[in-house]
Amino acid sequence: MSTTKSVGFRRQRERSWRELEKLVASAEARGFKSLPLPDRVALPKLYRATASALSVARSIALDRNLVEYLEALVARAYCCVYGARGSAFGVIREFVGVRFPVAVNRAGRRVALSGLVVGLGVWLGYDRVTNDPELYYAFVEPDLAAGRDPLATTTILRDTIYMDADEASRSGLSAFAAFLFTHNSQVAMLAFALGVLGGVPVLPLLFSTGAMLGAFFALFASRGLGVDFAGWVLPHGITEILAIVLAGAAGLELGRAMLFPGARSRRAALEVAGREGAEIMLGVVGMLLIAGLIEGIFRQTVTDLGMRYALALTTALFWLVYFVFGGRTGEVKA
Amino acid sequence: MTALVEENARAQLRIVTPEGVALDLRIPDTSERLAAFVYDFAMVFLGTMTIVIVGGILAVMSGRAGGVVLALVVVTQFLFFNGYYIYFEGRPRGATPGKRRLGMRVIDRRGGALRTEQIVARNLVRNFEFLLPLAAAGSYAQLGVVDHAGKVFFCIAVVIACAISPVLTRDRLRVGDWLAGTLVVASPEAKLLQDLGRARGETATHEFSREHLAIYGVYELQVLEDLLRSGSGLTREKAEAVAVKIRKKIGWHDPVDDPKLFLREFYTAQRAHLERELVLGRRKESKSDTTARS
Repeated sequence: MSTTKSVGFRRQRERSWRELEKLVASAEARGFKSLPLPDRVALPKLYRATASALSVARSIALDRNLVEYLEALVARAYCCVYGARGSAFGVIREFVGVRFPVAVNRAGRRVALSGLVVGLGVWLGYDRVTNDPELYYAFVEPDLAAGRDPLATTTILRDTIYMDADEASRSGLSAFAAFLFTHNSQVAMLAFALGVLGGVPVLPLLFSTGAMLGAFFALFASRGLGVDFAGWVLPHGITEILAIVLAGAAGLELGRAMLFPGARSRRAALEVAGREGAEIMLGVVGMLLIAGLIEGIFRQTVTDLGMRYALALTTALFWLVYFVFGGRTGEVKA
Repeated sequence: MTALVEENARAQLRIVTPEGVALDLRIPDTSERLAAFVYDFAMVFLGTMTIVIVGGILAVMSGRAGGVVLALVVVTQFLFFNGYYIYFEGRPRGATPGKRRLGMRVIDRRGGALRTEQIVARNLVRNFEFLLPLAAAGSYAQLGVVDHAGKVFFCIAVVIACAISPVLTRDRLRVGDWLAGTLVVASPEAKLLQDLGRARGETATHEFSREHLAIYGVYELQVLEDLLRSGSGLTREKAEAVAVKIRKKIGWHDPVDDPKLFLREFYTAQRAHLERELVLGRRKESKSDTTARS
């Protein structure tokens, strides 16, 4: 019997398919970029050959297993060839060096709005609580106050600021700091996610977060501890508040896409905003981690007021320089 | 690199590669997604429990520095919960262990490269789809279900709305997928089996004429292929029964000693015939397809 066309077709190419299968498997396990050079050259070639074999097989072969095999293989190879990303380290370096500051700069106006709302919240919280201490409870969640309320004595309030590591550890303050870290991360992520609801809930959230800070400040200021409180909160607080402001900006971007998608479909607009927002959010999580580290390490070990202010100033300068000059020289890869 | 993407009504995504080859990627069922979710969630849960237990023991042992250890535990488990998905989906395979087990992966909806921020976006949103509303509902419920009924109800409604969104959307999109521009597709690892079309010996025991082969079409051929590939599932009795049916249909009157051999050779001959016809532009879909008859 004469050989069937598809049988000969398969016999001629089977070896290269098997080879591609092997390369795809190791590319999936270790990443395309970590393959040895000859394999990196061979994989796209084999992929193209196999893709065209699939086209041919579809039109001449009636062997279903063959066509299904080729479809699966080409799909996997496609992900390796066109879905290839750089090494993990390269991705991180590109992100920190270029993508994050660029994304923040692009969202400049929304960052300003978000910061303005937080600032208004701080001012209102401070102003109201200074005039009427009872309003403190309206602004501060009891969980977060941890005993720092108008009923506390000035000594207790002073202790929360100047406690050393041992005492803090005994009183569970370190655990409380960690709780604050997850709480603040959640506020930041909530600010982003609420953007889906048209961005409107983002503003009250930012406002109330600011108001809480303002209320805290008013409480401490009323006992003459205002300067000390600022020295306690600012070293990590600058990073933390900035992170929340940026998250709010990302949320507002989502809200804008939801309410005013422009010429694009709502879904397409959300997708773009979601991508840019996620870029900011990734950086925000990193910033919150840094804030958490500063808080965990320095807050209880550095009790000198001057040092605290110096630290706060350093972080402020660092972020200013980073966001203003970061990403200027690099190119964003699409 | 973006490829042309056509979305069709069936549960699959068609990507046209830059080479011009259309790839149809199947969108997994909700049940498959759910199974993967349960698997991953169990892994995360176990990991978190391990962190908490080990951390707890360490905290007790370290005495005065216990508070610092506890703080580390909280941060570690937070990072672990979010990092698990991001790490595994960020790897070249693009799948968490649960997804991999069920033969799925995450891809960019436009068919381009899956970027890190997309993975981060689709996974951070998970916190709001599921964990935060549940935690909030729980804490409100502790304060008193009756007083906070509205809030508890709202939180649960959010969870339910997010949970059913893959059922409602055509591409089985989770809210996170929607935001990140990603999509979960089936990523089967198909095996290339032995070619049944290859003639075994030099001469076949059964010779089929053109008339014999003009009856069946592609559909029947592939049903026969499945049957022949079923291995031990093809018993002699089954082969016998199928062979009798085929013989009757195509008008084969000679006796058949080995029904399995008969089926094999019939498959080979039928495929060769249909493929020859295909080259001539005549594709016979099934036995009831009469348009392609020469």
